[in-house]
This record gives sequence, C-alpha cells and structure tokens, in this order.
Amino acid sequence: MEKMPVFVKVDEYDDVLALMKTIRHKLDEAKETLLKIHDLKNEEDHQLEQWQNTLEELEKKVEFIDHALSEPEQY
Amino acid sequence: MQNNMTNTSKKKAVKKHHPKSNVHKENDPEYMIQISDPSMVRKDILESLREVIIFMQGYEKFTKIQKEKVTTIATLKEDVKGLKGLIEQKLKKYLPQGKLKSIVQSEETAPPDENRLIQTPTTPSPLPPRVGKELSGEIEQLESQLKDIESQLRTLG
Repeated sequence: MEKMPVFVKVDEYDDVLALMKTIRHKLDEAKETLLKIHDLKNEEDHQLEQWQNTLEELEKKVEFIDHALSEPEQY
Repeated sequence: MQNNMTNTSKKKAVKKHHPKSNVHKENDPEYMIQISDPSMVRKDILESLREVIIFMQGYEKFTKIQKEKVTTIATLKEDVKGLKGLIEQKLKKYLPQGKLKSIVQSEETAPPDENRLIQTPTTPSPLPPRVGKELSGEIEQLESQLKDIESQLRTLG
C-alpha cells in the first residue's frame, strides 16, 4: 500500500521528458557557474597568498633598511 | 663688555629671525652616519617600492575578481531560481499530488475528508506579509516553503 504505482498520461509524458531535459540543462549551467565561483575563490586565495609573501618580503627589506639606518657601524 | 653686549644683541637679533630653527638645532645635532653598504640599501628601498606597487596592482586584480565573483553568484542565484520555478511550477503539474498514503487511509476511514486532503497540497501555504525589505520577505517566503516541504516529507516517512 505504501509504494503505489504512479501513471503519467502519454501525451504529457513527452512534455515531462522535455521538461526534464530543460531541468538537466539548467542544472548543468548551475554546476558550471558554481565551478566558476570556485575558480574565482581559488584565484582570490592565490592573490591573498601572494600578498602575504609580498608583505613578508617587504618586512624583511624594511628591517634591513631600518637596521642600516638606526644601527650604523662604529669605528 | 662692549663686545659682550654686541654679541648678545647679535644673538638676540638672530633669534628674532629664526627662533624655531635655532631651538631645533640645539636639540637635534646633526650626525653623520656611515652606511656600510649604500648600494644595497638603495636597492632594498627600490625593491620595496616595486613590491608596494605590485601589491597595489594585486589589490586592483583582487577587486576585479571579487566583482566577477559577485556577478557569478548572482547568475547562480538566477539559475537556481529558474530551476526552482521549473520544478515547482511545471514539473509538479505533471505529477500527481503527494500524500497518497493519507488519501488511501482516508478512503478507508472517512471518505468525506478526501477532497480536503487532496486540496491541501495544491493550496499554497499563506505567506507572511512583506515587511520592510524585499530580502527579508524573500527569506521568510523560502522558510515557509521549506517548512511546507519538510512537513510533506515527514508524511511520506
């Protein structure tokens, strides 16, 4: 009784199949868009990583300059 | 004495002309600092400048990526909305209404309730009135739809 069979009229069946095709197409589009968002997120992360490296390099250079200016060699 | 007087008057005159610079000179004497490797320091300064510029360029790139991401997210939202519309409005029409189990049971126990049970899924649940912003209304609408779907799933077991 719980699993009752479902019947669809034949003339509507074609429409249902066409609709399913459209839904699948839309789903594929959404999946592609999501992939694009994922790629963009990766690009963002990569950019942030680059910033991190650049700042670290910059910090090293500033430290060197600061050292050269504030602690000169004494004779 | 006269020399002293003249000296003091000269000093006073000088002070009148540049009082601030004199004080500054007294407080901060000039130092000559030897930089052991000036070319290296110069190179470091130039490289630092270059990296700052690269950083700023990266900022421009990052902003561009963010804008593109926002646009893509909006596209995805539209796609999902379209999917929802297709499933909810079109596909649902082709398929029979849910709660078959309830219908069968009601047929056995109380036949007059059949119409009511069949009609319940077709009639949409009353949506909360749109209050304030459009977004909050949309969220409330989605929440009510979610509750409706969950209740339908619960009846399916």
